[in-house]
Amino acid sequence: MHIIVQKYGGSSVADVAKIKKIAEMIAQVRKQNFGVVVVVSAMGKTTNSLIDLAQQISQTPPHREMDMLLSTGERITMSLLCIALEELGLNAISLTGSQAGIITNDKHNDARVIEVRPFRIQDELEKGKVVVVGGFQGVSYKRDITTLGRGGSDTSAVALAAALDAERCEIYSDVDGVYSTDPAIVREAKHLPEISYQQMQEMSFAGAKVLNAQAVQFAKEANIAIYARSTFQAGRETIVRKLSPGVSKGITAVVYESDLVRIQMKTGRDKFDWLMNYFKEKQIALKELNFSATDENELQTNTSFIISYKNVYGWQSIEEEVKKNLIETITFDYSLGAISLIGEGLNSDNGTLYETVSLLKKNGLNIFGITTTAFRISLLIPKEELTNGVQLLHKHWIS
Amino acid sequence: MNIVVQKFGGSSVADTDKIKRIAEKIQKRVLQGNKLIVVVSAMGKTTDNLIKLAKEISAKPEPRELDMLLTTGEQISISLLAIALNQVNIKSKSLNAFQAEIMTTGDFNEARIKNIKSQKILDLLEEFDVITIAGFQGVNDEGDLTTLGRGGSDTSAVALAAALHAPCEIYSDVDGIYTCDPRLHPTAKKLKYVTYDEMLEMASLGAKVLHSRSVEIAKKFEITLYCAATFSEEEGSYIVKENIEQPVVTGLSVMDNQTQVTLSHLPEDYTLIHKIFHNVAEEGLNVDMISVIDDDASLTVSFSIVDESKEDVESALHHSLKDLEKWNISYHPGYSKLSIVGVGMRSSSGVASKFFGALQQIPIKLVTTSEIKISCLIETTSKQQAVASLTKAFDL
Repeated sequence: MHIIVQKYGGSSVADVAKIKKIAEMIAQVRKQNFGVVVVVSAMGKTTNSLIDLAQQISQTPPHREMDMLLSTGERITMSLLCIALEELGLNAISLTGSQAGIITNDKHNDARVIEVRPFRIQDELEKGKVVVVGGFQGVSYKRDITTLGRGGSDTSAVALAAALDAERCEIYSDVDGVYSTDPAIVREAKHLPEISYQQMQEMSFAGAKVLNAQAVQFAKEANIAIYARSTFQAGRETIVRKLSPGVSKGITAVVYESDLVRIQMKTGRDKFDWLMNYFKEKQIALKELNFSATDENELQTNTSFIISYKNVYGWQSIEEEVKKNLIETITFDYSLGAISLIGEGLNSDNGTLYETVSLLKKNGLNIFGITTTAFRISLLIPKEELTNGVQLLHKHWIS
Repeated sequence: MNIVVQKFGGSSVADTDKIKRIAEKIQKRVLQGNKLIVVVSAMGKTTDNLIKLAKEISAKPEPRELDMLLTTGEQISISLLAIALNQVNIKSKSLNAFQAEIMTTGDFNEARIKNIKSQKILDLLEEFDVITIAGFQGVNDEGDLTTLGRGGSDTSAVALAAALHAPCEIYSDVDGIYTCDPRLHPTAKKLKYVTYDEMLEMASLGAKVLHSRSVEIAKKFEITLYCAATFSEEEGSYIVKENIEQPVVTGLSVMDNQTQVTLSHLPEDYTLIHKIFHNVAEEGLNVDMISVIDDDASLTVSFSIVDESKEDVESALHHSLKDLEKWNISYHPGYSKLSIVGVGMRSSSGVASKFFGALQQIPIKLVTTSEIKISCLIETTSKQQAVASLTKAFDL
């Protein structure tokens, strides 16, 4: 049996009317004799309301309990979708991440899928059922419910597609694919009909909210093509797949992120180690870490790094705890955002970087930091200059 | 380990403020040296809202999927309560039915608990002070989530207490068990002790404090049940095996919306009686207070039903009697059933005479008795008068 995995995001299942519509779309695919596995997110703002409830009780809720709480969101959607499918006369069954065999590590709130054991899904597909799986969730080897972090439903879908050896993985949302930048800021943003796994990953890492970075990694490893489409508007799509080198030269996209904090500190090695351990314990991902020791006994070190704090539960109290321990030596700077240019071979010469920096300088924008990889150039600039910067760079490099 | 099982109903966890207050209540018990299993229902109207969503999609939602949907309600409460407990420095962890290994039959929407593997919970209590467990739900042999039907969270709590050989405390917005519904009889007294058998009679008769199934399990495993109000320090009521200071009559319960059904001019054929009640039972309908009068020429059968089952009962009766030529049926809605209950009636005489003495002025339509109960059916319009006389006669 040929299998198609579809994923529907939160805005696609925001209310009962939309769930019914999706049921009809799924019925069409089922008619073509595909085995259909559907991954769903929580309805509309459900996840945010649940987070809100938890925060009314605690600023630092235990991560394990947050996962227990948040995973209910997808379960509500998946059972409602099955009820809708049954109402249309299809056989359908909903499975939690755990029942679907999505095994993760125990890094709650931001777990990694380590294995998929899709036996139950395969059994149910054999019986001719449409299988609806709760996205964003899995189960750890301790049998605790875990969640996969922002955009985790994409990861669920792609991981299942890989494990089931699916024909393809279709990701439905309210946008019809990937653009060269945020169309809300730049009207000339170009729709990208296809993009390589590597570039998509860099875009996600740099703050683009279209597809989750781990999802793209899975797709790349299993060589599964991802079709990003709009749920209720047929037409364009973006295919993420392996592209032969040289197909896309130069810069394909300009991405930005604003919910960042830059942390800088001057301390001895012991306090640096304390902070790294503390962040590790709180499971906080660091970006763009710079470290330098100014004397050979590491009594004086300079460190700076970036955190996307929006995805950290209870960030405020974590910051307070850090300040309490390192008060005189640490600063938290919320005034900066990042713009990233995504492309290929960007560090092969310094031309792109040089041109970019002089363009921004010429227009009076201040640059507070630069990182480059082969696929990305990231610049730290003041938040209020982000829009201007994105427009300038998109105009210069793309349109 | 000094384990106690506590259960909090939906109104006790209706919002995050209440959840925080419950966490403080639990904290006190932990500081007194108890380890707690806390069973919670879904918050306030959550279950109703979820059912409403499902009904917007389908008039008859698939039972398995409905259970998958409804079980999220309790999972939300247990995780929020665990968060609140950790916030007040009580080590706590939440378990859904799957993790707590509450095994049930496969009847979705009304599953029955088969067994609970208590070892896992006991192991966790070594590390944690409080385990919050989702009520109302279980897992069948296929690993699918099931729900236990009405009053299911009480059942979960009592079943856990049985598995752990622990006492069970049920907290709700009702502060205990009264001799009579205080809304009908404002001077009703709170009972400190009620026996299982009395509670079973009263639960099935409409005293809505505890669901019968949970009392049955408590009786079977001799679990002491305690009912009290969530946000009050006032002592509640204990449901126990034996009450040492046993009054003759413990309580009066009242059930409205009763219809009396009377079949007359039936042939003297007792297989017919069996057929009638068999067909009614097949439809899953409850009948009560049955009386059969044989006047040497024909049979008259009379019994009570709840008003809302009238149509179903009617069709079952017509189905049973379709081959007969001559028979008559009448329905009298608007009746109430009053019952006095007391284990002491077993060893005491004159209770019936006192009962009818108190009701001399009131026309009685039907009467049934058991070892520990006398029930009568009267017009609802006479209810207040009857309650006043009976509570006076039996000092309730």
